[in-house]
Amino acid sequence: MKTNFIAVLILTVLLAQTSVAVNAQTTSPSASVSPSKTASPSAKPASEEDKQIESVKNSVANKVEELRKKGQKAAAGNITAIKDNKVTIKNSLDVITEVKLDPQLTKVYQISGASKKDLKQTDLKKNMYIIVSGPLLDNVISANVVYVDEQYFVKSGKVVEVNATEAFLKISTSERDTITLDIESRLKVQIMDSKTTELSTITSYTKVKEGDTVHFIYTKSGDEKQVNRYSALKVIVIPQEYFLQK
Amino acid sequence: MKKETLIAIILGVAAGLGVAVVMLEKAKEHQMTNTQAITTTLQLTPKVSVNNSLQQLEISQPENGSISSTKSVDIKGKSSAGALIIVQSPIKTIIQKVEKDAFEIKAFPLALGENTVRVSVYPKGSQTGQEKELKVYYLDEQ
Repeated sequence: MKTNFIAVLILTVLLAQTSVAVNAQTTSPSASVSPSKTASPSAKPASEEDKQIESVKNSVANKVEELRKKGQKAAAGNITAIKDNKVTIKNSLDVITEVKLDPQLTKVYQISGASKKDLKQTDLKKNMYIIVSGPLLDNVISANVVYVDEQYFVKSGKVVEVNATEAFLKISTSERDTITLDIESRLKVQIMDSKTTELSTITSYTKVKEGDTVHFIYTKSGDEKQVNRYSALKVIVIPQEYFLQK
Repeated sequence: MKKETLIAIILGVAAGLGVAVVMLEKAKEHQMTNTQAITTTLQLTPKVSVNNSLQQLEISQPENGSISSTKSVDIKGKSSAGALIIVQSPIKTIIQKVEKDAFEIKAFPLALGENTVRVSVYPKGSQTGQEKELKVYYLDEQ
């Protein structure tokens, strides 16, 4: 709001200066003067003035857009509270963000793959994972847009147990957690070639060994039966032989 | 025995004892002054030279928490030469070697919404890597 006001003020001042210059233009010579043309030194062709005005307008518009984008803030987290038009969200690092919704202006969408579906503000419920974007004022984001989405976890670690029978990998992560990853039959586990670093898909777990490094992705459905046990969405194995090469 | 003889004996013994004590004290003193502390120039703790030449992982672009108006973003940073770099997000994984001490991944694709991008670097010959996690938002409506 403030930035918009400043931009409008700058534009008004610049346009006012241009109009003053036009008013100060000297009058063209009358018919009684000698026929030889004596053009006033301060007069400029109209097309050049228009170009200058256009250039100034574009500069101001770009500056306004730049300032508007700079003031935009994005945040994501699970909804912990909804009251009137205020939503409180908390992310995986326990950072709490207050969000203000405008009943007329705030748009709400559900992300589905690469597309989005319209939702109403009343569709927002506790525990939903949302991404909000808007200007930050007094530690509150005035949301222009809210997206409802899934939270993806991207992690890495070392394999501590391979269970091909029950189709899971137990991994000690770089954050010093132990996670059990269920490998669904339709999931394609990829392994990196130690020499070429190319990825290839493996059909069985015999190539995965304890001590291999693994990079993986999962989401939390909320229906997990065990703590720290998730269904993997993507798994990439870096064999320990790669690190033994000289 | 005569009284004078007895006194002479007692005095003689006392004098002898006194001389003996003095001599002992002197001998002790002499021994202390002649004692020297033995010092050696031998280093018990060998010098360990630490190789600090490994470049720490730095990411100059994009900024964590930034909003992108395009469907992709360039990822730039620094790490040690010859390191293996793995950039992973829910929609894309890129594996490559770090040339010299800088890396650049052009046009890394972004999904609509929040993109969790994990950049992992493994220096040559080491299974212990350095990692940084970035959150980049692609929002097509502001």
